[in-house]
Amino acid sequence: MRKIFSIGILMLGCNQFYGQVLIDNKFGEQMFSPFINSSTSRSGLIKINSNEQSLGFNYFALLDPIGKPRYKFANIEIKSKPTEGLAPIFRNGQFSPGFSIAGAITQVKIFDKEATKPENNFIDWGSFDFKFGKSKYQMYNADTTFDNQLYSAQYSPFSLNLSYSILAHSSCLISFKIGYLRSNNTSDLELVEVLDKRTQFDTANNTTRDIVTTKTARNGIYKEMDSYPINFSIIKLTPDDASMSQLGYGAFFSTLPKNGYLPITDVGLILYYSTVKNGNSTPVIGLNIIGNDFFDVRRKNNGLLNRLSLSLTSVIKIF
Amino acid sequence: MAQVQITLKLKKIGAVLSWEVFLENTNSSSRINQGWRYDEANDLFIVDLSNYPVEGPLDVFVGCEGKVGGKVECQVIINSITKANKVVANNTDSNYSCRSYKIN
Repeated sequence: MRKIFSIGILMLGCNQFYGQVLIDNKFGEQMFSPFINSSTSRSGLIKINSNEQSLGFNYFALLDPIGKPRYKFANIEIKSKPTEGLAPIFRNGQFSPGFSIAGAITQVKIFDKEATKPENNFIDWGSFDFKFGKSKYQMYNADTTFDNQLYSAQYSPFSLNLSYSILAHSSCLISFKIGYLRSNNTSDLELVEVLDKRTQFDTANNTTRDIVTTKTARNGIYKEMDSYPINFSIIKLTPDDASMSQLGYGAFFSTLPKNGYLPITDVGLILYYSTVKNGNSTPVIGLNIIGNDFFDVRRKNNGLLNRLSLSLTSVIKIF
Repeated sequence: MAQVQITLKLKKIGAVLSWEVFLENTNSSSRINQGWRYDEANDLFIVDLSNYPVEGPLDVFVGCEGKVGGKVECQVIINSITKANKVVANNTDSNYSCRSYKIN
């Protein structure tokens, strides 16, 4: 079993964001619109995700006056990360910068009636979001002339998504997200170390000297394509008035149909442990068990256990 | 009909996604959805209503929706007198919570 232990640390500058913060996907992207319990009309948070090794800033603003049961809010996220993570920076001094800007508008109460009562046992919300950015990948292609084997590929990710969530019976959160993503094939390409070695011989000292430079690169031909991500999840939330710590659980399904490729589907289970503080149940640690490429479209006859990954997430509230 | 100064102080406890406060009745025109401000130091939503016309006792209705265990508490202050009992509404309540306050 492949084990990926990662700690996604969310440093909250306010106490408005609960519950859904643990359920980012393995790329550090939110799988659906967050479960936001807004107090102030504006707030911000800094977000560090060690899985994708990114640093981000989120800004939240209420677009309707406080006191309306049906309201809209907007949030903007700016995120920066090394495209291939931190390891190539420390190993080779190789930095491939990337950044993204994302924005969303969320409407609380779409099909739920405007009034809060009489209770009809559900409340819903939906959002429209977009994201664009720039990333750079170091590529390696053996099937070309020597000078052109190492090259850089520029990637401009762009996505549009619609998401819809229902909180049923105040405890069961069902979320669905569908959208468009201009994606690339880098996640399908193997990461390789390319060693360039030059040899000098000094006759006076009778010495051979090797000069080695190393680059981390994706092995293959870089391609971009249209894709249509679909995410679905169902989560049992923990109550806010519990006297003891609680275990929450859920499951998710995520698939990414791409033009010219078979869709890769991830299926996962989420277990999280939450404690109640000041009347709020907040997840402190979560375990995601992910069946990557659940239907094994990349490599046939590769056992599911070989594609399982575990990820740990944690939330640290600083004030 | 008396004209009174009313201050409402609402506190959310737990994950409350939507809430509303009405005076006198639960018609949508009686909903207090303007003039709220957030007091960050005390984590309260506050609204001041000047010269509010009241006939007889003041009925305050509160409703909310959100996660199980979440609730709102609304403290009522009439003519600078803090009333003893708060209106408490739970996310899971099937109808509005209501209290009646005498005008002194």
